[in-house]
Amino acid sequence: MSAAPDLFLAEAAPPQSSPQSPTVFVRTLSAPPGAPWDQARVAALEARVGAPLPLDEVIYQLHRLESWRPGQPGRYAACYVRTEEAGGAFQSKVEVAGRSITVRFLSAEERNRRALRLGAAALAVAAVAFLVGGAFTSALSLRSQIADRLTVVEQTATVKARGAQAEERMHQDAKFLDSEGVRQLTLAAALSDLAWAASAKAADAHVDAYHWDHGRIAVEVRGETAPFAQIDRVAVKDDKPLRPGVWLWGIEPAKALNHAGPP
Amino acid sequence: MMRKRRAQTDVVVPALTVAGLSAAVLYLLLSLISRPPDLSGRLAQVERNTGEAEQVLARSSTDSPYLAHAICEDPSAAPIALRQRLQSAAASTGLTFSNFSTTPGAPDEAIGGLEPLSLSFEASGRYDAVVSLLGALAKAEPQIFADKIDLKSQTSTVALTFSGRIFCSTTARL
Repeated sequence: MSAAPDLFLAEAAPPQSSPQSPTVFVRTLSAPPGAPWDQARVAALEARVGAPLPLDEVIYQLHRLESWRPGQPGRYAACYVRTEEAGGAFQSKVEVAGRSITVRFLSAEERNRRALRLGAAALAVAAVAFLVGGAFTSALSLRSQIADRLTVVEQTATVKARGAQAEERMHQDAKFLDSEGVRQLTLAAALSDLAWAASAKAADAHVDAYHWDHGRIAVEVRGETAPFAQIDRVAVKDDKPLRPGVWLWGIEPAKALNHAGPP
Repeated sequence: MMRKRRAQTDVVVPALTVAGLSAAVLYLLLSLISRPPDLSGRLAQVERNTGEAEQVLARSSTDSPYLAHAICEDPSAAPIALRQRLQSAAASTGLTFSNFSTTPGAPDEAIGGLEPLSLSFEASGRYDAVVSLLGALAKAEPQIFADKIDLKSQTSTVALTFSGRIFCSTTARL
């Protein structure tokens, strides 16, 4: 934005508030077309640069003379008062370009008071913003924590549900298999019987063959002596030898002992 | 003095009201933000699922002789898988494995469409290797059920003749 303002110095209209009012000098200046804040910045710069006295000897105010319009330069009035004359607060009216402008300078005390009030308000707003921001952050953090916990709980519930589903399926399978009558036909049961036979075998027994048929055990033994030293199962020898010198012994399942009694 | 105090009251009361309302709105907003979407619905679903699962688990028994996946799911693939598993188990125990055969049975629709698959094989080798083979098969899934096990003593080895069954499902299951 090029700064080519139309500058001229004009004396203020005669003071209207009182004969002792300070003299107000007015300059009109023009800011090139642009955004309102850019025009205001250019005008402020021009007001400072083109001050009739050093800046530490005057105070000034800027007034826009016309409302902002796009593509149009902005016209401003810069009103200057000697600092030593504007010791207290005062108000005056000046005529600029056919318009009456009210110029109101505050006293130093009032400016300080306003600055303090503005500072306190800014602090309060910052504190409230900090608290609200912290509260929002905490709320979002809490939301994240709850979501995480909920996800863990859901996963645990899913695992439990899968376990229950598997259990339900096993229960159903067990019913099906029981219907097939295979509860006693597991290899674990067969191995248990085989282990019993191995441990119960008499030291001098000579077993040629071991038969496990649907839970019943039969052994082919050389000689007529009982093949098992343990008597916790019923062992019955066939009446006739299977082969010459070889006898077949039948052993009842373990639970049959309760019903059959000792051999 | 009275006018000034009245003016202060005129400002303080609306300011406090606005502050209170703002705090209440902020509280509600924060409460809404801190809750994940559909929290109540998800919790209710979790409670429902957990309740159902606990009911099922409470009536489950622990004395079942059956393995977790006792029934096979694919009857067509079962014979090949079974042969591979038996050959592998026999080889790992140093047994000679032979005469493997399977015979599919008719599905029994009355008990959930279970199809029995009869199997038989022979193996020979050391006695403890035969017992190890049977122990490995006892843990195999689908579960193998024994109909007949014959062990014949040879000079220094044992000949095993095994016949048994597995069961496969012909219908979609859980």
